Amino acid sequence: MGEMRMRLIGESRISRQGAKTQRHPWRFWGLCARKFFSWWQAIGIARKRARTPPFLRRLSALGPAAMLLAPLCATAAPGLFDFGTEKSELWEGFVRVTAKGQYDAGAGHGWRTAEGLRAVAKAFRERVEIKSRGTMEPPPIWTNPITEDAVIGDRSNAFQVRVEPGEYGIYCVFGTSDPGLRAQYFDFTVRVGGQERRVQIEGCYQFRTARFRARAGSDPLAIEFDPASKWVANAIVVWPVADAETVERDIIRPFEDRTFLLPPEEWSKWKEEPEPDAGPPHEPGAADKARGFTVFTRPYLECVYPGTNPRPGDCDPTLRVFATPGECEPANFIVRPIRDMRGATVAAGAIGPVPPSAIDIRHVRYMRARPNYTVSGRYREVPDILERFGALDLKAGRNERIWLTLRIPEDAKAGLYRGEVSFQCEGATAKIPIELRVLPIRLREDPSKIFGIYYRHPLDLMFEAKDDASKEYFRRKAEMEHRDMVAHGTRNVVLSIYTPPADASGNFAFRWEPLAAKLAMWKTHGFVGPVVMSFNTDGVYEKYVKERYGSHLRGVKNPPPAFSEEITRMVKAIEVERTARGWPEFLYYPVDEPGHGMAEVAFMVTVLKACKAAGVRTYSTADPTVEAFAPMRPHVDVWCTQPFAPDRETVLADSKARHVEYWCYPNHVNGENDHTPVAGARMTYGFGFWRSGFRTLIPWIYSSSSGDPFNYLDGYCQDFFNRSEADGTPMPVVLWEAYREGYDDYRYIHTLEQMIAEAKAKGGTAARAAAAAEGELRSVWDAIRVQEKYKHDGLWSPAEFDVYRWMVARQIIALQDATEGR
Amino acid sequence: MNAALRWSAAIGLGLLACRDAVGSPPVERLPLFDARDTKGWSIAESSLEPVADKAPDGSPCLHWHVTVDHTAGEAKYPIGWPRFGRGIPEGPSRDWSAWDSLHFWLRADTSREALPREPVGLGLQTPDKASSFQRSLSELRKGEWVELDIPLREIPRHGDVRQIQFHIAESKYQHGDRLDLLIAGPELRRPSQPILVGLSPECAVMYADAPRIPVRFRLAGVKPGERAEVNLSLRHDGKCLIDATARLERGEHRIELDRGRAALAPGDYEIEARIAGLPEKVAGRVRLVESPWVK
Repeated sequence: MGEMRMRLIGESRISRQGAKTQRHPWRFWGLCARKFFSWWQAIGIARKRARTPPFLRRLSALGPAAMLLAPLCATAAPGLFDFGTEKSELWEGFVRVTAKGQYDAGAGHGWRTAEGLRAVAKAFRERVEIKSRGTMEPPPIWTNPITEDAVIGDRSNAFQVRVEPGEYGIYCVFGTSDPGLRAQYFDFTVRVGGQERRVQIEGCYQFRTARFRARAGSDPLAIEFDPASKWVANAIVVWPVADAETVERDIIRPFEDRTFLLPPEEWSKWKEEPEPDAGPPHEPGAADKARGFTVFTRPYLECVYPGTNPRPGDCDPTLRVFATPGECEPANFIVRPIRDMRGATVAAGAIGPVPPSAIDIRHVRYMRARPNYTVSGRYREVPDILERFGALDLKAGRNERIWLTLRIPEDAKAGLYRGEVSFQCEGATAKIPIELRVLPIRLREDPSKIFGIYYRHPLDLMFEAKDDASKEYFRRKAEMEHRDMVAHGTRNVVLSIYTPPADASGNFAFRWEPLAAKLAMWKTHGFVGPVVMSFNTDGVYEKYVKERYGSHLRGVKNPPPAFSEEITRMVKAIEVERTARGWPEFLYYPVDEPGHGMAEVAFMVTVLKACKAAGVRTYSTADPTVEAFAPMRPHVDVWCTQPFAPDRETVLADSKARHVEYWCYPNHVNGENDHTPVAGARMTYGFGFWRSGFRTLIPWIYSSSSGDPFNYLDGYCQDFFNRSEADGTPMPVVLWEAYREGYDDYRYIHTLEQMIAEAKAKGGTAARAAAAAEGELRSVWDAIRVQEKYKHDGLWSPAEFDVYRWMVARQIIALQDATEGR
Repeated sequence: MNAALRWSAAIGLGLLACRDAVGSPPVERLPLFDARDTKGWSIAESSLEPVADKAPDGSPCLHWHVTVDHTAGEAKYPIGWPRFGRGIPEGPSRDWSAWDSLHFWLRADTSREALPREPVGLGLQTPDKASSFQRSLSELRKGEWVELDIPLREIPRHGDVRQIQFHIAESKYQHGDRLDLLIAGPELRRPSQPILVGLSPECAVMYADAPRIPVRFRLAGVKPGERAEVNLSLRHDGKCLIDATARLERGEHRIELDRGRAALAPGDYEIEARIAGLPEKVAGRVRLVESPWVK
């Protein structure tokens, strides 16, 4: 650190003292000692020590050696540059650089040009008030002096640093804490010497870092920015390569811990909960010891934690998969390294009709997750994100699960195929055989069921975005997410339409354009209605009651009759437009999850009646078995509830008698409170859904982030479900893949049910085969241990799911053979 | 030492051993509280008193009464959670790890036609509120005695249980509903001699070419530090096809029956297990189906 600062001095200092320093370094430092001593006294040791970051405290603890740093500390230590505003906080020891800081030879650093630059700052150092809930909560992120501010540029520029000739390491931090930039997509290239990195950041609360190595000559070292949209930078650190270890330990690591985990004072409040029982200890065999790792597998529905021990029967597996043409099917293996290993890679060869390009290779990333939504202070390390696999470094004793998704081509011929996947690390190779059976089955969709999801639509940000690159990013992100949903069986999302309350003339000012764009995308991707449509109930309420009603209607009062009249007129106006544009039916969704107090229920009756007065169907996220909601029953057309409750018989009877629909939003398998009910997710989506009598699954939500989307401990609640890569490409979580498998289970069942009906109608051999198939399907039905919420307990064991699916598949094949006379 | 602690300590010293019913193994019992005393309980929005009624096994009862009121109670939550609960004194009664189940007798009566879907909730602080165990007592039926025996394996962190609480969510009831709950217990239980509980194949259906058939069961009634020999077998038409023996400690177990070179045809099989030297056997069934990967 000291040596680094010695060399990163301003131009004038180099010209005056640099030569001496090179020839007589210790003499130079001796001369500086007196200056340091007076500086140290001036700032007040005790006060400074209390506020000084650990890395500077460690330096000061060096005693006489630290005095050698005198001229550098006294001149605010160039080489450490914190970008931001004039008034935002400065990381101690860093030099402030604002948007006006054009390069100055005297200072030895600055922007190539100040044109097109602006600084932003938004500090989050305290808890924040959440008005709708009436609580004080942690902020979205905890900022620090580096992340609370940034300089943003809209054209090519460079930050220049004057250094002595030599080899340098450069560390850059990019991002913004300013929520006003949520619709900004930063896409730029950073170039230093011959190296360049592309940096892509959606909006705020996310930070990226980049490291470079460059040789400096007589010209200032230039860190160049070349934007596709805008660029953003928070800090740059430049050091001679000899100081790399010190910089890493004393600057970068403390900064990254504060930024990507939590500030030390917050982190100290969190405690890790133990992993589930790892099972009996595993003793690797001689071959494993020689190559450095054990390879094993478990059913993908079973969570494997960093310390889960392999069982003898799990080791050196053959992976086995069956699937229909067009289907995606997961397979996995786990590597347990015996020692730290670097550069692990995975390669898959063709497996019969499945080319290597159709085998998606990812690894399961463990995340620190809260045990429940807003729980603070406790976390578990859980398997969660399926991250694209390039190469990985492995840590001794820490499992690494490799997740393969085989996409079976639509034209794949039925048959039994073999292939293999190879895992390589430090010269050792494991070849893992795969057996694939492609079934002669075309799975059918059930048009009477809806698989939907709540969704924060990127097109809303597209309409907010200021530049074309950002607009295109959000449009493309929405497209990719729609494709991803379809690939997982999901073809319905919750939408909203906004208008302020009616003006004095009674007119609404609807923003149709975003809704029209969303519904155009809906149509393009073959989504199916009806569309759950939320609208501005709270705004109309505020107009008449002069305050908002709060989360879950916590502060609601009885509104005047004019409120209901305006709600009815608003819904009618939406219906006029919907009809004119040929959009699917809307289900009107005035309030989310109303409380069950008398005032809340009374208000719900009022607002639901007002909707129905417009001749539409209503949708309510409330549990119909909660007796306090009984007054709402005549006014709710679609109940959407978390558990599969009421039971199947009640659901079917009520649906038949009153044409009421029962939808389910199974948040208990969406990660809101637990990221690990993978088997529960598949059960909910497939066999459990089939057994429930419900029409729709529509969990909350495709992706939810509070603060940094890759830090589940920041913000007031945890992050969950799918993530995005930097370019907006969806990054699935394990639960999302389990949804697809459940959806596929349902398609197998539906296909068989349809074929049984068809075979019965045909008579003869086909009807006899249908009777046998019906018996087998009944045995699967009877094997389901019916629950309102399938999560962890009382489920089939993970290995059973595929056997039950296979039992259904066999009957489909038998019926095909019988009906086609094979 | 308060009365409850004295009571617990006294009972803890002289564990009750009795035979529950003909054919059932004898059990050891540790009542957690004195059911004749309500002093140690904290009660909210409801009342609790000892009564003369007895549970079917003759145990004394407490009577908890709630009149559901959607307008009163805590100001912030008028539709709230009437409850009664009690701290468990520091000492051995907090550590349930040497026991097998938490046992109660319960009888619920109500002014309603039937109890709601989730009539009463049980909460255990293990050890604190943030790490609590919650369970709905949905087994309750109006006017019927229900015996609840909750396996402690279902209660994480049962080595440090500091409070027990019963509650209702008023949102599950109508304003004015009345609930009367008789409760005998709670007490901890364990068999006093080795016994196999909950034997089942890990998978009720498997592929016929699976190399191993995993079996799960719980071994109870074995003293700490001791082991019991368990014999397992896979049978078909009364014939033993695969067998295995293991000497095991008390607790949950998973044993794999290794098929070896034995070829198993698709069909139904029986899994049997017994503790060496004891006549009782337990059994489960597994169905093997033809594998998709057979040529």
